[in-house]
Amino acid sequence: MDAEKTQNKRILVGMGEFAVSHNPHTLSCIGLGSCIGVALYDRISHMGGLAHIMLPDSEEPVSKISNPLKHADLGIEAMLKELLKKDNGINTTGITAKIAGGAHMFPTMDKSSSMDIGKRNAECVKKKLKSLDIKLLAEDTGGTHGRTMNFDLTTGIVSIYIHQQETIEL
Amino acid sequence: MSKEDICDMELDALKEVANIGAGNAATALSNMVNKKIDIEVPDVKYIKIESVPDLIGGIEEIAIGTYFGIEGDLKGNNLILFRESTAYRLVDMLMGSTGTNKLDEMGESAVKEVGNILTGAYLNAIADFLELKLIPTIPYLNHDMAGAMLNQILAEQSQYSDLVLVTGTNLKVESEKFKSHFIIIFDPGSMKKTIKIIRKKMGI
Repeated sequence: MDAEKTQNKRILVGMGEFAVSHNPHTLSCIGLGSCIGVALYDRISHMGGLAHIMLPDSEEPVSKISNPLKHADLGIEAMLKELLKKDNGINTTGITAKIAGGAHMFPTMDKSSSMDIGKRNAECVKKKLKSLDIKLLAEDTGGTHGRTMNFDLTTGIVSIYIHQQETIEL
Repeated sequence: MSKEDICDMELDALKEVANIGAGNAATALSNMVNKKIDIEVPDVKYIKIESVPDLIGGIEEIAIGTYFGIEGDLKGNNLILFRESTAYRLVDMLMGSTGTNKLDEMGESAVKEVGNILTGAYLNAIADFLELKLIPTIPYLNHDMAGAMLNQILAEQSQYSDLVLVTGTNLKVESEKFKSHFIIIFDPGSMKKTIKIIRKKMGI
């Protein structure tokens, strides 16, 4: 446990997954396209979580969904629950959020959707954070480019790597 | 659809269909650039959407991707991911240039044209086999992280299904292996339709 605490690890969060950890670790979502990385942070305890959201809110009953974590509403809820469980000292008021992703990599892909999926993902994520009273500190969403998101749990800084652009810090 | 909706025999049949398509695509590209092009026997897998990025690998690498929607009797997505160096080499072959190391507008249309040829030939072959009509949309190109391009297609697909049928293969130009992925993903309804036709053809 001690070794795990002091060694800086990069924890990769795949599609439809989330991870909760503490400093000095870094949580990463690689190659976000229309998906959104949602970083929740408690800067007092240096604990945080990162969720890799694939889809807007779930419309079907939870029992019918094989992986609820891929949806904006259920994924954020599950991560918050885990964060609060692991970090007894905090409540939701100490937690802040930063988000990135929600791009539109190729135009007019899914004609059955009224809007592009990246944009809908961003809207649903923001709506969910608001309903949970979690303050959104910063975001880098939209566009037509991919993003890799690194969330440093020591500082709470989220660095976003974009091809042929300078790294953005949120 | 669940795992039980497709058996090994049907997967093999789908692989065979994919192989016909891939062979046709290689021949078409070979004629276009006047060089010998080989294409590997496609790998057809029916897997969880979330595990596709691991299957493809190198998701953080910068790639050049062409995307086509598939319309007509089946609906789906086709994404071809070329490693940057592969795309530049293809541009050289097509334009008779040397040492291409970035994509200008001409280069972009050349890569789109390669995509067009590969996708058109592939779809024609499987359409003939299945006796269906398949039409690719106009191509779109992006130059970005491979994972990010794949991400959107997978996310859209995961609205309708947990599992996805992925067909992937690699191109070889004049025995030099050019890393590229040719990925076809059909929506669940189209998958069912395809399997039904294959079953009928196989007499099962």
